[in-house]
Amino acid sequence: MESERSVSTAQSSEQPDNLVYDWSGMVDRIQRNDETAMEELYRVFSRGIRFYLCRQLGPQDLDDRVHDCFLIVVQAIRKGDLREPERLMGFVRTIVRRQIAGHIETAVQTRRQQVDIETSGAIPDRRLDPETFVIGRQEEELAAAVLKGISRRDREILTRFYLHEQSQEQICREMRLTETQFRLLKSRAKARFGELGKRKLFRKVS
Amino acid sequence: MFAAGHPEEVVLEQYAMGKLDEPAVEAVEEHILVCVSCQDRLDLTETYVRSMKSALASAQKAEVESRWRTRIGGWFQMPAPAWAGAAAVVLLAIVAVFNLRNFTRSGIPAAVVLTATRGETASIEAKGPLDLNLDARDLTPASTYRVQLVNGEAEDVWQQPSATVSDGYIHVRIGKHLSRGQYFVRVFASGAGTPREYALQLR
Repeated sequence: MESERSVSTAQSSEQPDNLVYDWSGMVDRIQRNDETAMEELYRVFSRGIRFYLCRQLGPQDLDDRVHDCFLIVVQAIRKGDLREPERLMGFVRTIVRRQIAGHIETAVQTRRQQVDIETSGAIPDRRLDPETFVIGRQEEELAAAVLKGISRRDREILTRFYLHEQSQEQICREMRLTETQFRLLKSRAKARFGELGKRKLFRKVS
Repeated sequence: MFAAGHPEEVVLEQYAMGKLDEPAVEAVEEHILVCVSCQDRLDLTETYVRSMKSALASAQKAEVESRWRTRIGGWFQMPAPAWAGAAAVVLLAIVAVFNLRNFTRSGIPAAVVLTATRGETASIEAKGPLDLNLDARDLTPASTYRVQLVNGEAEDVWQQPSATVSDGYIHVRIGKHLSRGQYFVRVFASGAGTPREYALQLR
């Protein structure tokens, strides 16, 4: 059976056209063991699940974790645990978050057991690998270059927002800025960061 | 919050900084599960926020060090009586700081939300009381929970023997003075073994 993409009334008001899926139809096909539906499910969600898991748990064992999530989602759909098929995205998100919480709890328990059994046990090196460290340093240099090119006052505004995590309202009030001025400053700094990054990349490539 | 079906830049930035409320987080995360272009946008935003924080921290540290160097350089040009006065002030300041550390933390509490997922450790300035909001979703169900705060050396710093969940979070207030450093908040369900652990950095 060919998969069909038709508008899902629950989603069309929020998603652009290229992200509108017939979730109910997909769930129905999976429940009927339609292989193409499972392939479509994997195609739609695999990158997003991988992205989310990598951000929360790191790259280790990523393939296995993505696979585990899919198994759980498919099994739950087949058992009829998904009561609102049009909420498939929310359901997948819940499964992924539970997997993450489970992995963290396992890691905490393992750490406790290792401490109890072996007081001189190996402690994992939590430093970044050399490549990630260098990339991070280069990115920081780009940000520093952006900061050098702006006024002291603008630097203070960005310091309050990114470093001290003050709210936009507080900053605008205390620094006597309008919301537009504040947003403009942030977007210019970010655009400059992107521009410097592209220039650096272009220099490396050429 | 969404423009043409995708989260706005400011929303992605707030998500990257952990400042979105739960309904918005849900909407963003559901979208990112299926939208490749927004995954890339979020990646770039997180890179930018992380780099900017780091660069601003370095710039601030350099500025403080520069001010101290200027100040110390000026001291060596002071006459002797001014030296004696300065030494007295420093001694008084040391005594005052020592006494302050023994007082209960006062001032407006700083609220911080902790989630037990790997990623950026929650980081907050070490001043004033702390209102911790611990994400209790998917926690082992229990009528009450024991909340323990340990430092980076796993030494017990503070405890609350019974706390409850409200609106998906466990709310506790730490009034005790805490010095800068790495801390872990552990939540134990009564009678059950494995705790949930949250990381917290006081800077």
